[in-house]
Amino acid sequence: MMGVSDTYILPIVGCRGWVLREGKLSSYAVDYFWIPKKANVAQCGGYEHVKFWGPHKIQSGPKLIPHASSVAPLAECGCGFYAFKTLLDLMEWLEHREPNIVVGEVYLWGRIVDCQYGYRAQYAYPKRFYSNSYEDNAYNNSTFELRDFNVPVEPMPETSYAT
Amino acid sequence: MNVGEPQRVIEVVPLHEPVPREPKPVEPEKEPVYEPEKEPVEP
Repeated sequence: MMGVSDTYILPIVGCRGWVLREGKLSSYAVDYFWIPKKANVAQCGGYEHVKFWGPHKIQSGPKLIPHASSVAPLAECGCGFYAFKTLLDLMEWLEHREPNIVVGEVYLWGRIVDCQYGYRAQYAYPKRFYSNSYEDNAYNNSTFELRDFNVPVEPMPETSYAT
Repeated sequence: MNVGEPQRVIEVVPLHEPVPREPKPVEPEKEPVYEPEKEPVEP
């Protein structure tokens, strides 16, 4: 098991996408509704305890191995709240996804698995949502649900990826 | 989301959780209750 190498006092900020399901903010592939005004806590018990949405199957989802939920995320498992390190990486990921994805920044803290292009974290909370997300129409219909999180909604910064 | 292979594990212990809290309800100030001075009662 990979041990903790460093400790920090400022939360990590990453970029990620969400979707709106049943009028609530949800993780993209996993059956998890984000909770407003509370720290969202990662839990994992292997495949038996994780439900994937729609076409997202175990084969295409993260690799999960059974372990106690108190240690989520485990480096060897695929659990935790996901975020990319840069907006550019997120935009590349969005290219192959459906257009109704809400994009923003997310605070990550607690135990964090630092990966090549992003993070997997124990605790997470949205930092800001971008108003001109990948598909404006989908976003404009969703601002009401996002307000519950009491975080700013701002225009997405320019990236060299955007043309 | 494919974030690649794990490189290291870190621990982040923020001084304050980055979660916006509901503002605590402010109790309205109580209006002072006027109590007329009691006249001294002669024995």
